[in-house]
Amino acid sequence: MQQEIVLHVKNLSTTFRTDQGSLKAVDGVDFIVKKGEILGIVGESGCGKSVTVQSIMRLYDEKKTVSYQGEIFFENKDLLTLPYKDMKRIRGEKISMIFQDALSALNPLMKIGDQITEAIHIHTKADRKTAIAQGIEMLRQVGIPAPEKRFYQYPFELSGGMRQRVMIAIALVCRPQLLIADEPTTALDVTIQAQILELMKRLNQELNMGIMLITHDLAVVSETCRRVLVMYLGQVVEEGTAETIFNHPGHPYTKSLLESIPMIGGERGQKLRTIQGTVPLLNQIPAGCRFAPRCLKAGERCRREMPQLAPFKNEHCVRCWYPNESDGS
Amino acid sequence: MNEDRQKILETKHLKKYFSIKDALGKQTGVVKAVDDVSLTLHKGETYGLVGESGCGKSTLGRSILRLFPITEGEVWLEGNDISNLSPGQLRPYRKKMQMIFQDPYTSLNPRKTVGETLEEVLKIHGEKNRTVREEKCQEALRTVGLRPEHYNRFPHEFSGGQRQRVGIARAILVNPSFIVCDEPVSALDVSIQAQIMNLLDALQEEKQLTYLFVSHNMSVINYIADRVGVMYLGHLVEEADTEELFSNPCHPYTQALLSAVLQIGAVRKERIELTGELPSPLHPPAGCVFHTRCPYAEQKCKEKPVMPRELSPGHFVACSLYGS
Repeated sequence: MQQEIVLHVKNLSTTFRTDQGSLKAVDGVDFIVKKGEILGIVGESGCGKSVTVQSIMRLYDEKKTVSYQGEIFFENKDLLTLPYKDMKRIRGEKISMIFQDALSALNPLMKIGDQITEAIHIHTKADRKTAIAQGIEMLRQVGIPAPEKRFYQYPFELSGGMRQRVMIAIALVCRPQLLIADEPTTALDVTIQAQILELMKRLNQELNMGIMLITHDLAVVSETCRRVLVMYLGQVVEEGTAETIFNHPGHPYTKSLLESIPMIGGERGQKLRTIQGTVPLLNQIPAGCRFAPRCLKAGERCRREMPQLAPFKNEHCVRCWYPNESDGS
Repeated sequence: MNEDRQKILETKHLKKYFSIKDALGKQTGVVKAVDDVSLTLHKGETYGLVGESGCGKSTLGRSILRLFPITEGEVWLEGNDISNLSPGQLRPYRKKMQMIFQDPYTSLNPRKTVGETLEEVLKIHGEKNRTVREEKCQEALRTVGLRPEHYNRFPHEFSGGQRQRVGIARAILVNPSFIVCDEPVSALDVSIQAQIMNLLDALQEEKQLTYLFVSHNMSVINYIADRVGVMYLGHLVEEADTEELFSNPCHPYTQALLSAVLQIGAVRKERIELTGELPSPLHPPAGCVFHTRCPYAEQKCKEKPVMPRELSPGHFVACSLYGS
């Protein structure tokens, strides 16, 4: 059975105009998000994962700094051509977003309850009473104990995990079809991280929405997502199911990234495998394959020609001239 | 075996309390950030200190370095009691103990070149000859894998990993025997994190360094540490050799912490979900500090504090499940 497609991003590029010339932070990204699935996007800092999702929400200043190419289809409309007024109605109602640092994303001068009902008042015609009831119900749903009391408290009175739950409640109160979570657990402790990821998985099932989970932590993705995109320097370098990517990575970048993580129960005292060099700056993008200067397998062709994201095996695409013919399968 | 090895650092019942004052300077409360912690580090060993944010692990590291006065207890460095020395008396010992900070972006002075930052350390420790200073700094840069031309550059010209290398160069410049590494890889990307951990490992081997490695990341600790201490609300709740701790965690908090760690490709363990959050250190629970979140808590846990017990050689647990 074909799952319904919520979001279809086609050949998206985001270019920033800066003093150093124009920088293409996202370069030709394609993907889809289906209803009821969690799609993971992973990569190191500066690989364009946050820019990709903020482009979907069109959060950048389009008059001065940024220009988009490509198409983003949501409900049969191209978000990139929508007038600003219509875009405003989609944000928070149909697509909402949660950010990494809940303390700075919440308004410190507003009570939790007012911040939740604000979204309801903007997007629906609900009266005050219904909005409050909905808000309290939402807080209960994200697992906040004594929601009637918390509703009237300020963000500083809550712990980090609770604030992140409030953020999720605000994002979900209008029942969006798509939730974008940008590093939702990075600022949290492991025990709290586990609670929040469980919550997101549960809500994903209950509300049947699409979730995009952006993170640099491969373990978080392996725990929560079914499909994964790996990004490097503004491009998708590998796409596939979490199982394939973590067990049989096709791209040398994914493979070395996985090898450089210390594992509990792994060989201690052994040298960790590393990736040589660092991620180049956006104004120093190498010709040919962008990973070639750091790749151990790179050959003459890699330095000359850019490979395309090509189907490798079932549901598994790799952007590499010489993908790993992996063990067994 | 442990007895023959040289003790580099020892803390005895170390306590660090911060007093909370109101606007008029009247004391209104006390935060017990580190409460009665005793630990011993031997030469060439890495002691990993884990715990969630707010458990006092960084405060412990800083108290040991005497970055602020300690409330009670003793710190012994290479057989000398340094807990009550004045700043002047402490200076010779400062050469023996150094620190690597978490955030390489804020721990380097943005208006000084790397060379100036490094030379400052030698100036403070009385090296008057400029050529000697520069030579020593160049050598430290080489040791941490930076190039000579980096000497005249400013921090903003470096990537995060390179800045952390500068931080390490600054720490090893005076040939210390003991380094506190406070979350040195937490701010770095995974591929860079591995490079820095390999570097710390190689330096330890070469110079026989002793590390106190503070981190919240269990897999990093598992990789780098020889012994591990788990902290909760200012208390050391469990301590053991790394393999023992990870294969046989005894304290309910350690068990929950380990079960919450996400691992790629690992068999899904039954997750022990801790209810609630870390209590405020301003009002720590009476008795065992963990009893408010502990799945096995009984009446006696709420009444009297538990003392650490040695379960097997070198494995200490502070929990009444194992006798009190």
